[in-house]
Amino acid sequence: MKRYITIFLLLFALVPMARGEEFILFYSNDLHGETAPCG
Amino acid sequence: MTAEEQIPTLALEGGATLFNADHLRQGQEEQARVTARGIARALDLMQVRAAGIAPRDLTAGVDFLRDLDRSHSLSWLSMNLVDRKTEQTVFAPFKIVTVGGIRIGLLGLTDVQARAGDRFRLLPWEDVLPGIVEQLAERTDMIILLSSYPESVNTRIARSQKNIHIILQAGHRAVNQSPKQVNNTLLCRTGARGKYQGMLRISWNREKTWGESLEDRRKKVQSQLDRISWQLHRLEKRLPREQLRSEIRYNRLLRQREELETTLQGLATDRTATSPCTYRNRLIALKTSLPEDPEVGKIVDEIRVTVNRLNRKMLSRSRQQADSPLQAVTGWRKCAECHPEQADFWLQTGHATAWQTLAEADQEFNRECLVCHVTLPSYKSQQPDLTEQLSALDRSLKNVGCESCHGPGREHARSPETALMAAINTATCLQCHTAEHDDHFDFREKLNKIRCPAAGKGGSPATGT
Repeated sequence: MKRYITIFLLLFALVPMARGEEFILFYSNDLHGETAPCG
Repeated sequence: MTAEEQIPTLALEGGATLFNADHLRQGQEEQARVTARGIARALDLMQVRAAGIAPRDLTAGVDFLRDLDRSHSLSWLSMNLVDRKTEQTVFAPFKIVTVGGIRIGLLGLTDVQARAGDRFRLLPWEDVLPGIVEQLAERTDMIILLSSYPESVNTRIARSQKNIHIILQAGHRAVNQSPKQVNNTLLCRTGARGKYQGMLRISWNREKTWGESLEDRRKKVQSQLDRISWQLHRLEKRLPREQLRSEIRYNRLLRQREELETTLQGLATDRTATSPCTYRNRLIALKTSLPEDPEVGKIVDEIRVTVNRLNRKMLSRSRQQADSPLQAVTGWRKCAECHPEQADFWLQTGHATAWQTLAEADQEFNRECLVCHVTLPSYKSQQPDLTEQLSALDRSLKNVGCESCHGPGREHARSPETALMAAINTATCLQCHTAEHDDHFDFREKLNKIRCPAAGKGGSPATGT
């Protein structure tokens, strides 16, 4: 049982990367201390 | 929830986040620190996982940033800012996060031009980066570098480090730039001052190599094939068949067409090719019309109130100096004595209530805002910092009056025929209507709204361009 669980967990971990994972990266830079625009 | 909303996300700051200058301006030190602390709290709220350390993030000193780092969950990263005595890094050099099953190594690199103070120094990237990347490449699926080096250096890094997949750039020329691929690295950057947010939708796999999807490759090859077919068709229409057989260009195009058709067939039937890693990029304009997050809004309001309170105490002790350039300014009521029609027109414009709009937002002591909301002619050309005296201004100067645009009026009031007032041009307005504060400013359009009516006997403020 323990072996089956281990294999199952391994497959579960491997399959997503084999298929490809998606994520969204939000990025920005040079805020320069701006908190809110005037007006 | 849309399909996009279900995809895991990661938020990062490239750097140059906290301050808008390399040095704290005298009298504005505490205001800058209050603002920086508020920004750090807001970034935590927005679940920004890490930020790069650029030279401008060290404006209030390394110790200030270190305190911020310790008191927030956001990690400030730099692998090359070290203590002179111990040679240990002052901040974490990297951080590993897991996003949707992908282990991502986040690295920070600070430009060696940064002023770190006597107790610290900056090591060149060549001495530290390769070792850390080699270490992380085995432990992670993807590596993102937050770098405040100039783009030329980031490009060199990209050429030499195939295991860095994204470089988020900060400092230097902060303009929107679509991701630029150098070898296996995407160099990314947004414009400055929070006007844009970059969004990369990434599909990542064990190949760890950026490329086109099969579908994109097919489209590209099909497009090339279409172009060559059209060129062949044109030649066939123009030249007789006998001549075509010996035409070098025609034969070359025939061979290219054949090669492309073979490639296309191969792509259509290929089931074994592994998909490369792909991305789609958007640069999202953060317009003021977007809804605000109430919690972040509360932090911004707290910053404003605290800054206003700090400055109120400091400015309430100041008095106007006898030799101050402000002595040459008379206020709109003096102008109205000879130019009543123009004064009446001006009273209907937004310039007349510019100071009030600050007071209504609890910002009438905010030094950064005050200079453009009072009658202070040619502020940028003046050397001394007059903000100390601005709270001691007469009420008639608490607006953007005639002299804000036309120059100081005391001499003109004494000798109107000889001491003429200045003409207005774009530069006059752009002193305050900068891109940061007014990104829809159109000089012609606004001039038509703000231009005073031409005067008769009382003279006329010059409004030429």
